[in-house]
Amino acid sequence: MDQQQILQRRAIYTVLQEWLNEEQVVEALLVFEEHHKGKPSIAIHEYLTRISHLFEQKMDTKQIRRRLMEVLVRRSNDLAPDPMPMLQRARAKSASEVFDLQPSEEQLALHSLISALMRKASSGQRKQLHEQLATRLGKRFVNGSYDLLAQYLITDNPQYLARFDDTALQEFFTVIYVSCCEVLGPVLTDQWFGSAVLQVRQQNETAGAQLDRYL
Amino acid sequence: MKRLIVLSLVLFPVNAWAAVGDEPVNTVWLVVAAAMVFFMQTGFALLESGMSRSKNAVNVVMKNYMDVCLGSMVFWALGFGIMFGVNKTGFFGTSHWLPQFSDEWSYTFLLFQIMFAATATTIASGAMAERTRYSGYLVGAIIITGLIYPIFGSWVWGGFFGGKGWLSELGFVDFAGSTVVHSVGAWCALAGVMVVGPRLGRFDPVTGVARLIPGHNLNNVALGGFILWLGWFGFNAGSTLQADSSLGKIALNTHLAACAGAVGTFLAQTLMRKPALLTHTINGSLGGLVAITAGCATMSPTYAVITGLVGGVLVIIGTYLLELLQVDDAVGAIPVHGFAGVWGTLAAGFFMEGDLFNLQQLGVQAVGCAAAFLWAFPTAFLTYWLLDKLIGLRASNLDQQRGMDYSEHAERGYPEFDRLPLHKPLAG
Repeated sequence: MDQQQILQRRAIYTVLQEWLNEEQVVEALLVFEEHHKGKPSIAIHEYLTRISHLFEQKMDTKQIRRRLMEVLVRRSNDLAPDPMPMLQRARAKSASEVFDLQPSEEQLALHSLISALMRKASSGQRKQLHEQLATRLGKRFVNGSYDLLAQYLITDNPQYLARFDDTALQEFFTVIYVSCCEVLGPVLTDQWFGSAVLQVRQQNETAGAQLDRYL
Repeated sequence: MKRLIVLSLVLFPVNAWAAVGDEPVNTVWLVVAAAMVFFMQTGFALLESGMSRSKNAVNVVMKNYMDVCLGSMVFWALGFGIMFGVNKTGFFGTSHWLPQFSDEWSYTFLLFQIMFAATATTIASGAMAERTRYSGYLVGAIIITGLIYPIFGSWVWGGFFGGKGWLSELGFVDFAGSTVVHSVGAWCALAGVMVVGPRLGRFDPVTGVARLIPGHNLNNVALGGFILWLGWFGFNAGSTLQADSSLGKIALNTHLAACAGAVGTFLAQTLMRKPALLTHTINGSLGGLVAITAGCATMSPTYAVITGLVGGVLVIIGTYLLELLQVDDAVGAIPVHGFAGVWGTLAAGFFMEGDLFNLQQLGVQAVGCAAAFLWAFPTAFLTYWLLDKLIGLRASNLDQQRGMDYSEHAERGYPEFDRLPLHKPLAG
């Protein structure tokens, strides 16, 4: 079984290099390791669709799948070496860099908004929210990103947000909104979000204006 | 014999227009009735936007507005020919595309029918409100007005330029369109809400219980209800296509059924120990109006009251049934136009003056109702499903979070009074 997984990983590494740059290949392999490892080769299309969304680029997934199937039936010495050591280095690097970056003013504004929201929830609601968020974040964010956001929600430390760009944080905020809708209902969610945004804007006008990019 | 006379009046109202259509009073009446049916769009817009949250109000009104604009053009160009053109097979018309007539009366008739088509189309907009993309919805509206509605219409009212619809041949009675207009619109709406899915958080993910999402302006809902009621006099009485002595009774039946619908809703709410909501009460009246639409010309006022009363009760039962099935109809359009429409169509056969409780007629009515569902629901479902796959029908979570007003139109319905600043500020 392990041999089969290594073979799959090597095949993906070999093929994806033809479509993606090195950084993207590493990211794509991390997605594979975290979410698609152990699934049959026939399900590879789901993985390819996911990474094409991840990199927001149009990839000819049919062509890549065909290439993968070709590569998988080759002798193993035709494949690139196992990229696992490279993936381990990437993971370690990502973990050590978390606290190197400082959050921007915009990210701090978003943090104060999320904190204000979470403080409104009772402990029971927060537990339900975290369960919802875990499921939804798992669908939208992968590997290291998911871990960082989960850590952020648990620790309430804005430094975790510093690792993300505006698009990712906007998506994160929307995931929180959707989870709140599911747990609290849409009416209460709109009320809470509305009052939390007002609160941030009233306390700090500049921070309030900076929130707009995430709303 | 009496039954035959009644049936001929109901089934062939347009035979009458050929004979009397050139009289100015008929033209005046039909143009006024068409304007009243057009005014119903105002009612739909107020009612549906009032039942939506403030962040989606503009989007709902825009859909209603464009339903009229696009629906009228498509029906004029394509739908009218399918519905009323020469109908050799009994299943669709094949003439009078982009119609040009030799007589002035036919243009009046076309105007009136355009307003009907726009009404059928706009039913889906309310049901699918608050989470449907504007472009996808509009393409769906074009297909409903251009194909789904006129094809079914040709089965019942078709063949005025030759031939006859197959349901008409069977003796199916639907004077002003409980089934042809309202049920068909409702089944399209049902397909739409099933494809597009519920609004965010509408149903509790654990228990499946429906959560109330109150509208932002109940005064608008009430005003919309009154306007629809007013417009319905044109809708039903205008379907005589002539200014004759039957108008009074038709209008009276229409009015009584609307009143009875509200009473029926109140009774149902009381018996079920539910609060008497304004939105449900108004929907009850509309259910009564939809129910009487099929038989307003052929029932006595007593039966009109019964028809309206049951229509109102069905609206409440249907509303809770849909919630139980986790079907999110934002304004209750499916119980009002669909369930009450089916009941009204059956009642039109059962309570026909001079031929009461005729089971054979009831059977024909049931066939017509079933045909409407079997035609409109699958075709609309396929249409919306394809639209969802090809251009996207459901708005993204981010768009729903921001509200459809901002995300689809870059406008806000209530910028000065918006207390929920979940939107980005408008550009400029």
